[in-house]
Amino acid sequence: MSRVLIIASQTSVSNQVGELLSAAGLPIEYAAGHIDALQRMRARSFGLIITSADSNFDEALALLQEMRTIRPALKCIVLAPHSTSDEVIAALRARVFGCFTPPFDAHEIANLARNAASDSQWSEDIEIISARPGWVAVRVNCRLVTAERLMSFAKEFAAQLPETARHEIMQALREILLNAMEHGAAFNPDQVVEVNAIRTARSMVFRVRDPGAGFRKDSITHAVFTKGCSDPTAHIPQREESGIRAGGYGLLLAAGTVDELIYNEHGNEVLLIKYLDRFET
Amino acid sequence: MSRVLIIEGHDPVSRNVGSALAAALLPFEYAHGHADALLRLRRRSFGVVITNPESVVEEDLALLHEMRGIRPGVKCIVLTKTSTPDEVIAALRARVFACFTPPFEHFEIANLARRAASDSQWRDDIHILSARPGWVSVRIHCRLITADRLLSFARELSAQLPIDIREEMMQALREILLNAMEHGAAFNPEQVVEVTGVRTSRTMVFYVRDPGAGFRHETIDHAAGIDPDDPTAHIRIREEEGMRPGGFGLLLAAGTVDELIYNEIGNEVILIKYLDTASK
Repeated sequence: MSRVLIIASQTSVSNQVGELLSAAGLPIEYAAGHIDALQRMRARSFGLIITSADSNFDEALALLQEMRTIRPALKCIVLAPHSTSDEVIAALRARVFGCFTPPFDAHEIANLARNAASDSQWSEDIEIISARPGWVAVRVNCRLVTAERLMSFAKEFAAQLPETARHEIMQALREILLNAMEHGAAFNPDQVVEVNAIRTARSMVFRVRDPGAGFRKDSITHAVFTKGCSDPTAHIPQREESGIRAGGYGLLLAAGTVDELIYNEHGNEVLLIKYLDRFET
Repeated sequence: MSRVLIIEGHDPVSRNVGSALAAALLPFEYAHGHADALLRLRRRSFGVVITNPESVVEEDLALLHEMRGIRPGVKCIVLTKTSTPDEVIAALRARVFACFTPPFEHFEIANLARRAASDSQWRDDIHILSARPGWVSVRIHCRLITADRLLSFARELSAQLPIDIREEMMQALREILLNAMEHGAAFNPEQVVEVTGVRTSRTMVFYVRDPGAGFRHETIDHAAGIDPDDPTAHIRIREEEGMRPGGFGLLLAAGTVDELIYNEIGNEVILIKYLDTASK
């Protein structure tokens, strides 16, 4: 479990994250600013840095570049007051571990930091296929922590969406992404899921393709699947008989929070669409 | 150049296609019905069969199955009164050459039949990746005739759209598809383009991915619309570079759909037509 360096900020989130990490038994230190952080980095080894929430993306990425000349394998969680699509893409290209803008959720950040501190396989986990504001395509390895990393970027990529719409589509994306990794690749870290995020004039679209052979709707009796399902508990005995963990509501939840959830014939590719016009009135 | 068999119906399109083929000096015959077609196929070789426009797709596919028992290499152009997405998918799976419903454009059908008659590489040109009503993904080889074949199916899959909207969308798809084949693969038949058509409740979406290294907008100064202040600037550049006249493809495509979005590299494009604006 490597040491975490938190760069202090005016906002309370840095302290809150520090307290949560300390409570989880993680060794942490605070730096007063960027130069102090560089000096501390030279003095001892840190596996993860959490940037100041007051600092902008450009500065955070410049700092990361400096710090990697000292600690090449350093992971970085960027906190920033706001983000643009260009900045999020730049952060992805710079192999930032995760990024967050307000409203900050200290528990979410601390959880990702805890995962980061004990993770050594992250470096090539998110491969950019193509990226420009409006359309980002990535290939991600099938690991839970990678899904959480990607979610932090996806949330920022969708930052121009109204808060409700963004929250709903993120909830759906998370379900679909985890489904793809679990059922399409059994969380095999050598396998990859392809994710496209596309912002059109009137919609936000995510396309997720997993490497599995897919499923057919009629074959998944262990999940509540459709909105119109007459018995939402019918799948529970099925899951118990099959020895599957409790759950099976993921697809139902995802379908309920986006406007369209469309699977291809094989079930290994899915489109999530959220139309934005109803949020603009 | 192989012989064409046209199964006659009451619709004048069969005769009109025959006349167009005769004008192109293509050998053809008329059959008076399905049984007559089978008899004729047993007697002599035909490379292409054009079905009776009054027949339904299911019957046409059953006929094709029978005909392939006699002539395994026969190509079939299905003319039919109406089609559903399920039927179009079934036709794709049955390796139908192309599919048309009214309003029939007999020159277009005859032209495709003429090219089908001299084509021997068509068989695996359209490979279905996945297909269900609402979402069809195919991988197609980079040949002009394959693009036109695919467009005939794409048009049928978009049959629920108002006719003018459908034609606009098909025009844009054709431009993008040919661009992908030409600039992404130099019409190399060994290379493939991936095309996905998705019908959502509010949109019709086509997604085209070519195998090329892509382009960046700033590098395609030979295409119209790149310089918004001078719509003819590309003509001079094309002349200087010795390129054929044209370059209006992207502009045309962008003008006929609601959204035309390229990825960063320029080898993937999404065409979107919103159905609510279409219905207005």
